Amino acid sequence: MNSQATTTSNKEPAAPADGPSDIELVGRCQQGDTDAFNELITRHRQRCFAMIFHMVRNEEDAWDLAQDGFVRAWKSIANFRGQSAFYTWLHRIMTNAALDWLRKKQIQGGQEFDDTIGLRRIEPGAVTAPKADMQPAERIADGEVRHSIDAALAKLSPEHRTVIVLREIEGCEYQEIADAMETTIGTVMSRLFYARKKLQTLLKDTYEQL
Amino acid sequence: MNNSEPLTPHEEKLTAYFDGCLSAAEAAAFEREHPEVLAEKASTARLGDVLRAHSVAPAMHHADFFNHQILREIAPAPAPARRAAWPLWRLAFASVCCLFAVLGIYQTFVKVPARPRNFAQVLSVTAGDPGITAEVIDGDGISVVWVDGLDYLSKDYVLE
Repeated sequence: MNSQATTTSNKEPAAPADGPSDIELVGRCQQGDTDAFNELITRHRQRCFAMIFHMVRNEEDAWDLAQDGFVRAWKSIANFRGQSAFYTWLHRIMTNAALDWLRKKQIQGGQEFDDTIGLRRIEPGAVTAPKADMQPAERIADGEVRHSIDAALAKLSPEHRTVIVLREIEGCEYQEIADAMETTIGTVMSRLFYARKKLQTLLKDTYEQL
Repeated sequence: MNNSEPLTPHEEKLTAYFDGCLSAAEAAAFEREHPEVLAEKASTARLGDVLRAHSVAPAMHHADFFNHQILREIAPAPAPARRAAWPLWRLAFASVCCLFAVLGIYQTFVKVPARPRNFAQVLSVTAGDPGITAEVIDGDGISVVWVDGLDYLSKDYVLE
């Protein structure tokens, strides 16, 4: 296990030094400038995609949901008043898109596991990328752990899964999670408490062997 | 288990302790009061480490196509081309055509012949006075000669 893995924080990514800020681009979007929105998509797409991927654990669904999130953002960009960073606002939209999807999937019944999830290409330079010199046996073990995690996360309710992903993987603060899920900090703490308990039970054998 | 079942004060403090939301003094006091939480904190931290280490998102594929599809969806639909109004001359021409068509239909299918079928023209009438006319009317088994313009007809007149 890579104990040096770091979490991503829910802070505004820095705008390119020579380019307009997110807020400037948002202002142009509010005038109907789709080129400005294209630039915003390019800046934030990977991060949004990654966050949704962690929630839905499926690349194709994450791709579609991120697109859906950006379309939702465009439709409501006139309501963005700049009271928070653009990414914070966008993050909330993306979280809700993924959460809605998880709820629908839960109603429809059952989750599909993708066995190839651990074998996908890894973004170069990703902070949690496995070491290149990982031995085949290690790769297999790594894949098994991922599969166990996917299976355990799938057993959580959409709300529990969302708080776990936002807190443990995305590194969000309680308030950010509460804002994204449109709930209170008390509810976030409660969900986090029970979700951790359940995951510890489900993954006990897995992570105690590591 | 409810998704957001309220926590007891101890559970709430425990969660805050796990997430480093207590001050150093509060955390130390909590640990003194509940020594078992140290092991629980280590276990929670380990869970977080495992989740982070094995939750690597892949690089987004076809990123340009990703943008393209969004932009296509949000692009405003082109306004439908405004249909030009018919010029006056074209409207007048069409009206005249319609009028002729209606008259044609009326003449062909609706108009009743002016003269009944059982009227026949007497083709050979010989009279010194051009004001005298004659017609033969064929009825049910009879024919009537209708002569107009004569003051009277003598009783001994015989039609040949």
